[in-house]
Order: sequence, then C-alpha cells, then structure tokens
Amino acid sequence: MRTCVSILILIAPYVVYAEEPVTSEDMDALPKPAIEAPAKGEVEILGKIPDWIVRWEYAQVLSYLGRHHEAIAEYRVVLREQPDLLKAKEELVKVLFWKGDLSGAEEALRSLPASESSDLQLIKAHLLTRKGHHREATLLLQSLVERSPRDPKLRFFLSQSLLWGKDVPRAITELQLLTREHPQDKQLRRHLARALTIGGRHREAAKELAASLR
Amino acid sequence: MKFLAYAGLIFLLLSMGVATSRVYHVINPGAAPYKRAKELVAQERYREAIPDLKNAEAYDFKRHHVIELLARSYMKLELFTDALPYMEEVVKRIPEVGNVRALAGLYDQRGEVKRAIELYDRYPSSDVEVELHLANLLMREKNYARSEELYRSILQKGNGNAEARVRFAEMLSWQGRYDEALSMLENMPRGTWSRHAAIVKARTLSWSGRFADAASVYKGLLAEAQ
Repeated sequence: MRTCVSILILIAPYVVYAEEPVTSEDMDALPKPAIEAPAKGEVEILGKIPDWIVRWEYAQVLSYLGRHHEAIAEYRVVLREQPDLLKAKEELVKVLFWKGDLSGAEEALRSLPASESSDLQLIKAHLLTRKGHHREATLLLQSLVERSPRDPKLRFFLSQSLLWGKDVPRAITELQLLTREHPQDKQLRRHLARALTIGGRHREAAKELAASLR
Repeated sequence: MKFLAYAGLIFLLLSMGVATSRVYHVINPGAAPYKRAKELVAQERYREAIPDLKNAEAYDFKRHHVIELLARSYMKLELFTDALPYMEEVVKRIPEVGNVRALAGLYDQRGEVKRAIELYDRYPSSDVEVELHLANLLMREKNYARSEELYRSILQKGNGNAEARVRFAEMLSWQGRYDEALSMLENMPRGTWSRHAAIVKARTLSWSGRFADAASVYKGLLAEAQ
C-alpha cells in the first residue's frame, strides 16, 4: 500500500503535465494525412478527363470523316453541357456549312461574338454572297485579304465576290495578281479567262485559255 | 495521522503539478492553441485547426511541427497557394521524398513546371512515384529525351506501372511516333487497360489520320460512360 502511494506521489506531477505535448515524437503519433497535391499532368492519369472533352474530340473526328450529321449531333450535346465553349461553337458553324446547312450555319454564327477567325469570316462572306449581299461580302473579303495578303484562297474568293458584284475590272486585277504569283495554276488562268470574257476582253481571254492548255 | 500526512503530501504535489502547468501555459502561450489544433487535425477538421495553428505560429511555439501541420491542413483543403510557403519550409528542414513530392506537386499545380523539375533535380530520388511525376513534367516541358529515359527506367523496374506506360505512349504520340505509341498501348499488361489508355489510343489514331478507328474508340468510351 505504502509503495503504491509512493508511486502515485511520484507520478502525480507527470499525470498533470502529460496534457502538454512536450516531445517531438508525439507528432508521429498523429494520424498523418497523406500530403498530396494532384499535379496537372496527373489529373488525366487519374481518369479525370471529362466526358464532354471525349465527346468533343469524337465530334471533331466525325467531322473529319465527313459524317457531318453525327458530328453536329455530338457538338450539340457538348454545347448543351458547355454552352460557353466558343471553339466548339465555331467548329459547329463550319460543320453546318460543310454539310450545306446554310441557314443552320448562319444561325449558329449569329450566336457567336464577333470573331477574328478568318475561317469563320470566310464562311460569313460565303453566306452573304449566297444571299446576294455582294458588296458586304466583298468588303469582308477585302479586309481578310488585307490581313493576309499572301493567302491565295482569300484573294481568289475576293475575285469571285467582285465578279458576282459585277465589279469586273477589279476582279480581273485580283486574278491577274494571282496568276502572276502562281503561273503554273491552270485553273486560275481559266477563271481569269472567264472574267476577261465577261469584261469583253476576248483576245486576252483566248490567250489565257491557250496558256491553260499548254 | 499518517494517512492525513500522505494525503496532504499528495495534495501538495498535485497542486505543484497544476501550478507547473499554469506556468507552462504562461511561458508558452502557443501551447494551448497548438494542442487544440493538433486534436482538430487528428479529427480531419483542418479548417477549424488553421486559426489555432496560426496562433501557435505567431507565438513561435513548436515552429517545425506547426509549419508541417499548416502545410498539411492547407493542402487537405486544396488551398495550394497558402500551403506553398509552409511546404517550402518543411522541405528545407526535412527534404525527404514525400515532402519533396508534395512541394513539386504544388509547383506543378501553379503551372511552375520548371521549378518543380529543379526541385526534383536538387533532391534526386529513385522513388517510382517521383520518377513518374518528373517524367510527366519533362514531357510537358518537351524534354522528350530525358522523359523517355525515365519512363523506360520505370518500366524496366518491372512493376507493371500502367500509368507510366500510358504516359509514355502519349509522349510518343506527341512526337508523332504513332506506331510505337499504339504498340505500347496494345501491349498493356492484362487488367491494366484504363479509360485514360483508351483516350490516348483514340487521340493517337486521330492524330495519325486513322479517323474511322479513332471514332470507334471514342464511341466505345462514350458508351462506357453512360
């Protein structure tokens, strides 16, 4: 009994003191939560690529395959989930246009903020031409050519727009510029010959046609 | 009489203990908040633990432990920017692999890929998780040669690291080495095929112009998701 009391007396201060964490070892007694910060590169490994990204990539692949109808359906599902996905909206405009759904493309284009993308501007110019708004289409194409003067596709579309707008001399000038830059392109010469014919310059047109047959 | 003497002695000693404890608290005003915070962390109540830890930090009480607990708590709460300075201090003191990996993860989270690579170079480790993270970082930095070396080293360790295999295939695909990437994916060990592997396969097929095959893999992935 006496021994027990003595032991109690001896350990009493330590019983009181034990509430304080005085040793560094008690840190290890804590249940250590694993330190982990998911790294960006690992997010994908963890299978966190959302389904809408997979569906978007699927829509792109379908459009490359020319399966426009299916691609459009997939784009619409993606955009229902991610309505602010501008790039997907732009792609949808293109696919609608490639499919020949001009009113659909126009509607989708209207829902977009003014875009700097020359692809979309080109589609817009095509849509304007289809509706007979040649002057606006020409102005739009003119601005695109000024932005990318070395792009033969844009200059060619500008020449065609000028032709449809009955500005034949300017159309001829643009086509002559193109044939000078691409002298081997027979189709360009034939387009130039056609423009020259419309402009009544038959002798020059014959020369271009002859050159395109060589 | 003897009993009373013993009781008195016990009372005296207990009072001394309490007094010592009080003195301890007066001398160490950070002790109480630290103790509370430690309990809260143990209960995974990180948000509640932080004010007490900050308090303990202000009194410079058990600084090393407080810093480590703060780093862990912020990371658990995914407050990575807040965790960063504390984790940096932890690594300076204890540059062990887990801490280095955590700090590199924080840099990565902030898009500071180069800094994460530098950290791993400062504290090299043959730990597979570290090698895999470093290889992924190097891939993003387009240091393909070193990244490939690491992926190969991980795969040679023979633990069938599926993540490394998929990442390696992705890196090969990024470099335009489509056939090698596809072969890497087709030779995945049994039972290790994952959604991520299927996505890398679909992308590789698409990038290599095999659109019909890519479409079929994508379709399968979407069907699985439903």
